[in-house]
Amino acid sequence: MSFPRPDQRAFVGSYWEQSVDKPRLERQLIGNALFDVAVIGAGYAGLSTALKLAQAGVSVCVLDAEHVGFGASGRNGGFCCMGGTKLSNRQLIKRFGLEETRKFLAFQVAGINLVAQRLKDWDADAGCHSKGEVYLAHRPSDLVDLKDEAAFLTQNFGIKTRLLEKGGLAEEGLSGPEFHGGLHVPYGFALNPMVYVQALAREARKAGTRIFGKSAVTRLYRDGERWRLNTAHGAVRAKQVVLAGNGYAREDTPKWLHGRTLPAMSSVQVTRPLTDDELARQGWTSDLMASDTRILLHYFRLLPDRRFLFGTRGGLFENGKALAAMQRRARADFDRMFPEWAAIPTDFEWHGNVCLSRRLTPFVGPVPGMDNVFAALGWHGSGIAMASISGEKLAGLMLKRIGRDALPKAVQEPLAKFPVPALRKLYLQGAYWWYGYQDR
Amino acid sequence: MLSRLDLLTANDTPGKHPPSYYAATANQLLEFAELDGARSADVCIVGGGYTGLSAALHLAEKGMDVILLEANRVGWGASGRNGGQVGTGQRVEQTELEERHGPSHAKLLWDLAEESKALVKDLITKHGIACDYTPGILHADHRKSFVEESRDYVEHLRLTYGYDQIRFVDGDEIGDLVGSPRYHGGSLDMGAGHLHPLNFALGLAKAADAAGAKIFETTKVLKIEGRGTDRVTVKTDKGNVTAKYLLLACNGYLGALEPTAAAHVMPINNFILATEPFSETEAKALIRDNCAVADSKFVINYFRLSADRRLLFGGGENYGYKFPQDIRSFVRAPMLEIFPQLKDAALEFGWGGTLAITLHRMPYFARIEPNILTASGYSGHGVAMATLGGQLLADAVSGTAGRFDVFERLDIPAFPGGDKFRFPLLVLAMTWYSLRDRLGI
Repeated sequence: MSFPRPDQRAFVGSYWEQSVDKPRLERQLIGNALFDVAVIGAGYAGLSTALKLAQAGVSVCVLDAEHVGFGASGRNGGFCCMGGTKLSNRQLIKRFGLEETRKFLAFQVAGINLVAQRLKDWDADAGCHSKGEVYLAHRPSDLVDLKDEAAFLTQNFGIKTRLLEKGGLAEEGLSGPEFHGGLHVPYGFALNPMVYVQALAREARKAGTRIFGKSAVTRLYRDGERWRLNTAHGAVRAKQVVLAGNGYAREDTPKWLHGRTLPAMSSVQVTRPLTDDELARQGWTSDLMASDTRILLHYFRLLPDRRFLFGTRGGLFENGKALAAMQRRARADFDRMFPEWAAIPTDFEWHGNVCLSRRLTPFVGPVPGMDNVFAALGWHGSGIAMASISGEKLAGLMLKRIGRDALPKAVQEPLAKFPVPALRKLYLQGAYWWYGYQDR
Repeated sequence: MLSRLDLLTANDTPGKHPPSYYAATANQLLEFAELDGARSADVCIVGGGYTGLSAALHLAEKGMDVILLEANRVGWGASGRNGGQVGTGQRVEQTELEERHGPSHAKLLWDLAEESKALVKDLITKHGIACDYTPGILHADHRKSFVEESRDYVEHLRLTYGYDQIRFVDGDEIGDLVGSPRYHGGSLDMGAGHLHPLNFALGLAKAADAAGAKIFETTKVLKIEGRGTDRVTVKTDKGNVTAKYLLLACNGYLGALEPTAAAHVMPINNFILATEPFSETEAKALIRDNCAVADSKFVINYFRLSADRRLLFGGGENYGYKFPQDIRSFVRAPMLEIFPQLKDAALEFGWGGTLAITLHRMPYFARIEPNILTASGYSGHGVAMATLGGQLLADAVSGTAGRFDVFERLDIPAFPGGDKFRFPLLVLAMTWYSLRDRLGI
């Protein structure tokens, strides 16, 4: 039997990894252990649940296949913003009604507030910036849609947005040949996601949570009154289990997950630090985090050290050739959108999985048919706020401190199975082509 | 947080003033009987704060038969608990009002605001109200980038509105005026001022009583009947009042009494502490010229010296219904941010209160029915504006509604969610802005 040595950490090459101390190598689970609750996945959701449970005096462990922040929690663009679904607000209203949609939006803002409050309470310097975020119209016609959206948001949700006409973008330091105006939404901020997830792990540990690294759960089954979670070198028996692996969950643990999530890829690139002159030439000096109106969106922001972070959605297969092609495409998009920086080298590039669900909404709650197993996953690429608040609320549900009506209905529909799971990637490929066509 | 707690009882003892510095230094706490039995009047007013008391006074002076019902004590709500600042203009800056409503409507709103300050001073003189009125409010910028805006705004008020009581204060001078390292500039407005808010409210009550208004305390209105008819009846625990007109002057404490008014205002809580009294030298080292100070933070810090030279410091909001357990420590944190030198100062009083805001931060004046009128939602700018609001209600009832209409025309939108306005997103939005401030984003 061989145990991983301390230097066998899986690095993904992200800018965030080198901006913090080396991720702490958690002890591997060896032998048998007994906990009240076992959480699978040491990301925002799992750690938030664990933190809250531990604070309530519950004995809880978190099992991760790698280490804290190895998954999307340590790889994302650091956009702590509204989101968590691929449905538009209009679609949400159609499906859940106006009141429930309001509740869902309020939940999103509560998530943002929770993250802000934590960073403040924990004195974590996550390099925060950006007052809210801005959506940039990548076609003139999209500005009309944004105007509609602004009126819609005010009327139905009281959200006061600010519309930026094309002519006003330069003054805001948001220039680019592909931007035809924008909509500023006041909620949200940008942060270093790795600093946040590490602080979250630290607090969870402080509260009494045990975190095990390199401890992928390979099997989950009933063992008397408890659930048994097998790992390579040990097993946990727990009364309650939380599935929080999101886009990194093993599909066969438990079987219920099979065919219910669709991991899709997102890639991020970070340039070398830009000089004043380079920023001025491109006309991008704002610290606002931004995304464009493409369905296959780009998201970008100027980091506090003046590197530029540029993310792209899309890409299906995690093999070398496909990845290289995806990074090339992303870089080409960047060069086109920020032509003055076309010659600026990329210092970091990496990718990660976002987790989509068939209903296009997250799922937080008890897993149907599996007593005492809960799940919190499916953030659709906007998990910093949504996974944090959902994880915390899930702990509240498990402790019976809150009822299910404390959560918006939009996060409570159990994950549905994709019709023919084996074809999921093909559906997505089809969707990408179709969206790519629509985005032109 | 979102359940329907009754703010008339949630944080206070019914019928008793809160443990505030103001209650401890009240000139004379008035006592009025509880309503018992059926009565009728020309006008029934619900709420014994600035709005209701001023309406009662002005109506009684016109010879009308007025009954005012107060659930607890006169001046018990925000009128007896606030920061005591008698501010210039509206809660929203004139430049913004010009953009929203056009220059001529903005000018009318400015003129009414000027009138409101004059009204407060007139009432103090006319009725001999001892409430320590002192001129001067300093607006202090906590960000360097705001200072130029302050300079521009002062210029704008001087040029466009001919207001010469205000002047710009630069970064050097502000350090002399306020003993805090946090401010970079601002403006000093000698046309504004500050006073003992509870004593002002009690003075209004005394004047209204003397003018013939009948005031009842510890009389909570439970229900409104006869809507849509020319006689409205309000029911209380032990009695009822039937009147031709009903004026709702409950502001943040309206609760679910009337859904239309409730949909337009959102109650939020605010907190103040009072330190021990300082020596003259110590007090001058905090605020040199005894002006009141309001700063530019989203969760605004407002502070001033009391007549006995305590620092009264307001700061920290919460958007739930319950007050924090320990208000003094809750407000101490923002106070030490502004005045780190006060870390050893004894804090002798701490209290909270509930104000009401509107979606656009302008007061909500409306005729809910032809004979049911309301004025509320002063959004933290109520000492003078509510006093004027009461007078405008009185005017509207007695047939001269011109000035009431200037506000009613603002067409304040309801909060999304109707009378279930405790729509969490808006509450969370406020929390977000205050967190953003604190994270320094």
